[in-house]
Amino acid sequence: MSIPVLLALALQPAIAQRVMMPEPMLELRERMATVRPAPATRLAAGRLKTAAVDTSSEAYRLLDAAYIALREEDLDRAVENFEKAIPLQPERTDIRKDLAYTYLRIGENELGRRQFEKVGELDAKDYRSQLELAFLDYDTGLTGLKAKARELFVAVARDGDAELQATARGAVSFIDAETTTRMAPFLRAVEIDPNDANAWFRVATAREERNEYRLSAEAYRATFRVFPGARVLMGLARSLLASDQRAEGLKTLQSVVDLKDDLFTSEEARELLASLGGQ
Amino acid sequence: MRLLWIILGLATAPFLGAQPVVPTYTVNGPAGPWTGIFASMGLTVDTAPKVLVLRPDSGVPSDLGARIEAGLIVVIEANTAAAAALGVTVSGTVTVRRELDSRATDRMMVWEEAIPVLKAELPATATVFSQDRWSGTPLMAGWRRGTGGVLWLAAPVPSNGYARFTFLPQALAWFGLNGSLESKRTWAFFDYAYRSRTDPEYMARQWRKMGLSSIHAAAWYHFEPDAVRDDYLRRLITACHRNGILVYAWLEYPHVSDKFWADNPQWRDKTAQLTDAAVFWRKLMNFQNPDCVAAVKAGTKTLLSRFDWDGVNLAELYFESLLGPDDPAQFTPMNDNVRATYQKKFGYDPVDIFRPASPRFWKSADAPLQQLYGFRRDLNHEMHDEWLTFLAGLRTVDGNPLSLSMTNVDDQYDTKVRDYLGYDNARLVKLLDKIPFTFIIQDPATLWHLGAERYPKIASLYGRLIPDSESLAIDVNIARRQFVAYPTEQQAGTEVLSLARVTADSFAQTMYYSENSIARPDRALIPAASSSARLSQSGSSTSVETAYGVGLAWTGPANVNGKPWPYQSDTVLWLPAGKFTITPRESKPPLRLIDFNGTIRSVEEVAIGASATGVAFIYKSVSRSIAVLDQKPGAIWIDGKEAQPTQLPRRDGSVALILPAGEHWVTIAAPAK
Repeated sequence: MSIPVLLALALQPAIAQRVMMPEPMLELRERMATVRPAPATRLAAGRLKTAAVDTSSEAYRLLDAAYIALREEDLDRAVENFEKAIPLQPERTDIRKDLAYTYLRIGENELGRRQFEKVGELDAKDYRSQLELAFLDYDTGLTGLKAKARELFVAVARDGDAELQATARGAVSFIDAETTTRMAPFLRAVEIDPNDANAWFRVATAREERNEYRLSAEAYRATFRVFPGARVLMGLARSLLASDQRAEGLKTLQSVVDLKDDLFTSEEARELLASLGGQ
Repeated sequence: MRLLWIILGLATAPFLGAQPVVPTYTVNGPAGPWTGIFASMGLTVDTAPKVLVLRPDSGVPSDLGARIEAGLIVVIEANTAAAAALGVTVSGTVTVRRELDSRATDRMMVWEEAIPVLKAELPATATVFSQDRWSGTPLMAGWRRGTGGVLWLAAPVPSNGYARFTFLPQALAWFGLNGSLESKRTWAFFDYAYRSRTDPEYMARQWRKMGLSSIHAAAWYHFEPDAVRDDYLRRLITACHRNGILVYAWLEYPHVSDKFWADNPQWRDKTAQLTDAAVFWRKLMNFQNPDCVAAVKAGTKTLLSRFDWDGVNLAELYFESLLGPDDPAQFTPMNDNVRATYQKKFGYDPVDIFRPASPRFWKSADAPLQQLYGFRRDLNHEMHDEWLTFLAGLRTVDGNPLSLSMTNVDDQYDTKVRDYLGYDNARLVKLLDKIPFTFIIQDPATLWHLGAERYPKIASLYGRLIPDSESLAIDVNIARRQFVAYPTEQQAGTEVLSLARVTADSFAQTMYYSENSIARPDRALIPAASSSARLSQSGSSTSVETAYGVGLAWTGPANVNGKPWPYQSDTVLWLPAGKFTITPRESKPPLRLIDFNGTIRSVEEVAIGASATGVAFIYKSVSRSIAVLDQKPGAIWIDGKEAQPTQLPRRDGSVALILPAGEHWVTIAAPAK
């Protein structure tokens, strides 16, 4: 089998790879789920009291409708009202969290993840939300987000309260052990054949997930020498940016934008570049 | 007693039933991709249409504005003349590569070819469905005008129908354009790991709306008791039953569970490198070791008795790996039992085939490798025989037979799978001669990029092997594709609805991997896309011909083939297989069967004795069946004997009944007034 085909298989899930959630991570999240706050069922009055919001306002009306819908178990109506209320109160993390948890209840994990991401931007010390975000990032199975998940787990393990710390430490331990096991045969493979692009790519993604960004950048470069694919270059760009090599990272990111062989990755790069203040 | 029944026109409040408005369309100019798009929504072509498509270079009717005011929906497909006629100002173009849809912001939609699209000033009342990610230029927008409306498309629809405007059917549905028929026979896989935070009642209601009749729930998370997970699964199964959905235990043997792997290192399968066989996410056990098999069978019995399952799906019971001998680190089975048996039969260790120094190394000698392939296929056949026989002997918690299905990757279309994964579907289907099960063909990842046209071919190949079409199903993988394919990384919108349409026409049963991966905007349109039936209207009567049963959009009471029809919800009239003529009637049935999971043979409104009324039906099902009644029933008879099946009350006052497997005649009395 040719190297590009092997690499393509490494890059994308195969039939037996359809289910990818490791059970230890699932168990950690389940344990956390038992202590997480349930979505609020209080009326908007309770929610808005501290914010001194006019109860005749549109925000009040929408939130009231959202919490009544939650109480009546009409989750779609709750989501609809939360979604309308948030642009009117964009800084309110409590509303975003209630929407995020409601998204999780209706199975919209990606939308929930984005709300927790916003909560993290607004309040970096909300460690429970950071932990929720870390699990949701990890769940995506995407290397860049799995790397971000570990960074969040490390932060919560360091700064969160004792209960959150324990969960976060467990997640970091699992990630480190799992990536070590996963990487081992491929480290041997690149020793035998330094041009084994498939093995280098596996090493690169595992290194990135472990937040070993300088090493992952090296491994992506080694992959790229044999297989110059967009996703390889994107991994290199992420690794460079994360290891404080901003100028080279931005330059690499721009080169991904200009590639035409995988427009999804190209658009992903364009998105990242825009968020970093680029084009 | 049945002979004494008299079918009555039972007088209650007069209410004339409403026949469906069958949406029709026409296209000015060559229809091109529109035929497929409308077919996937269940719309039919007509000269007096509800929808008119004005293609880019087609002429514009002079009375366009008046016809829209009078109810016509017009699709303007980058047609500047039509835009001008409706007062829409077009001012130049902008080049677009990526579409952002407000209804699915979590999906990246990329156009393989960046093209110039029209920039238009749309009415202030327009709802923008999608726009250019970078310039914000509206790409797909709709607005109402009078009793009709306009759908604006800033660029032509591509020839395959889905490379641009992914959620175009949803934009048409925004105007109320939905097919009049629907199917609720679809199956889907369910993976708890992605859904552990979801609300079971909510999910079950959504699944039934999406047309699911069963979910196949990953059972390896529950092989060993666990308070949190067991509670979730019990609530999920009850919620599914309450909503008319059956639940199968989805097994992925020889992966048993993570705990089983951790607790039993002595029974782990081995790869050709003699390492423990943890391949991708599966941790493979040694199913040639009698002690291991005995332990797994005991665990399976317990698993199937701890929960109220309706069936079992024995899925992907094969060896690894998809890369064949090129990938010795994942090539199985190479456990001690297999090696000993092989050694005895052929006189050498099969591991030699993977040792470069051996004269039997697969790159230098083909015969040993072929011998190994044949050995694995025989072994796999024996495993399937043993496990299907074992499972066929088990029962549901209330003593009914468990419905069996088996999922295997196709090896007829993509034949290398036969060697690499070590089985032969053509042989395995012969097991149907002694054990009834549904054979679910999983289309291999290597074919996912071919689009919907692969399914009729797969149906034709397997139709020759399995004459009974009811025993054959297709597993459609809605998953991230193995190769770059546009416009979405995993299928969505028109592409998914086209898959649903083609598979419904090719197979009796369609299954999805998974309920989780179907885009939210697609779920409401799957039932119409999955319906395969003929529909026609003449005056006040509607005719339907269906092979497997179908739902017809209908409100109010109806006669079917001249008799009062009690098998309908408030919005859908359900029909079993056959030919029917439906006409409105005035009086409401005293008791309605509003949903049914199983195959109805016949159904009728009945008088029971001198004063009671109700509904009677005959059904057939290999699993238990679920009947949903519009209200709590009175007495129930099954095969002429009074019975008390499990009743699950629903929030709206309706009730789900769990009925036994097999063929039965059921009579249900309306509650006494």
